[in-house]
Amino acid sequence: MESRKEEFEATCNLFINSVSNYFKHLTEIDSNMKVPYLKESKGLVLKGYTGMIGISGGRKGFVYISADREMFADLINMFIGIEDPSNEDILDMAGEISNVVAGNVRANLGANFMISVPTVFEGMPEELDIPEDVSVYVIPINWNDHEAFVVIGLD
Amino acid sequence: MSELFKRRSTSNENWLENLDKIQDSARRNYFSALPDEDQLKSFFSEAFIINSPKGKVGGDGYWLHTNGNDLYLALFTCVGEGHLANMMIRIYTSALKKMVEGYAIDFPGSMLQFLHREVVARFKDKNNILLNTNANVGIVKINSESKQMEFAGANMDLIQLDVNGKMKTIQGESRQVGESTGQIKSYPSISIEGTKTSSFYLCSSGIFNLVGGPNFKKLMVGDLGTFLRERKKIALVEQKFQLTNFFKEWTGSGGQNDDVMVIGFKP
Repeated sequence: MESRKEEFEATCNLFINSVSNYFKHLTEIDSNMKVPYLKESKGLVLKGYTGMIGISGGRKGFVYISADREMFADLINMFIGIEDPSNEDILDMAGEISNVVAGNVRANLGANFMISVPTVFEGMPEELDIPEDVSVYVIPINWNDHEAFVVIGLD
Repeated sequence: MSELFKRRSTSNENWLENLDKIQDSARRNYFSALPDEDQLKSFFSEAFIINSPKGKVGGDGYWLHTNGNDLYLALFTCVGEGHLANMMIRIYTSALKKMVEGYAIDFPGSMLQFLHREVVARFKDKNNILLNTNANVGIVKINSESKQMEFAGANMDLIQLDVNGKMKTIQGESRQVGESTGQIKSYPSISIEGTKTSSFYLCSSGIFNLVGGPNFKKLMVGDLGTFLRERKKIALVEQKFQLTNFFKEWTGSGGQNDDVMVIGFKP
């Protein structure tokens, strides 16, 4: 049981570090992690735009990065210099950060895990079914005065 | 912050299948922004498009425009891949739209020059951006009645295959659109002969990054040419099917390592 807990924490840390490194190295602005918490109530904590990654193999679940338009717009301005991004640009930026994080985690996770290509969406898709038997761990992150969530759910 | 509540009786075993059912909004946007294949086919006696991004979205795009009997077809490969390159596709498409709406530019070389100036102007003060904004672009202009055709390329070539199986590579300039060279050079428009008896192929740069084959190397123009020559009498719709399989067989278990786009057409 303890090893499962340790594995869960190690997996969470991989995602947290990957998101943190993304901001630090690509934007040169550090992100601050707020106090993580286990989400016990039903439902999901979502911002406006989300990139969701599926986890399969030894453990099953999901990880997503969710933030509002303003954070992705700031990133787009830094990356490409677009000052008035379209909704399509915002979705692509959500996809980009999720892709990089998924790629980094994929390279560091053991062979027991498989990480899917992220799925990007706005709001809350009707089709989004959440497994009932997962522990959902919410990590609020602040970057450049924007709040984002990294949320990890594993069985 | 919005907190939404949804809980269903989903088994965790089916979780990933359910995730697959969610439509990826960025992928939907990518494909819906490009003209569909039927539109392309309506301009030619035969045509196909293979568009297979490595991920959910890609850095390859194409654009169609008609003016009277003249058809303009552009294929562009934005540097990089994935979502950031996909953003650049919109910038290139938007510049082409601006060109046809506001300027009477009708030679492929002049179009490339316009694109180059637009991209350079748009990013000239953005010194700290993290993305390479260049692109490889090929543009053809075809008159639907006379079949007269011109081509200009920015680090992109046009492959011509005649009915006898003779293959010719019409070379574009080696300079990408957006590439700073210190001096402005033009992109010449090249007149194409034998258009009524040839098939033409515009290929994204990713085709020639596909690694595999018998010697585990990058696919070369010659490899592609050999494949096409052996199928010179096959309808383009069948060529599309076989070419798609050829790319899969070439990369084998290594999988597709770059975005792939090919447009084949007979004027």
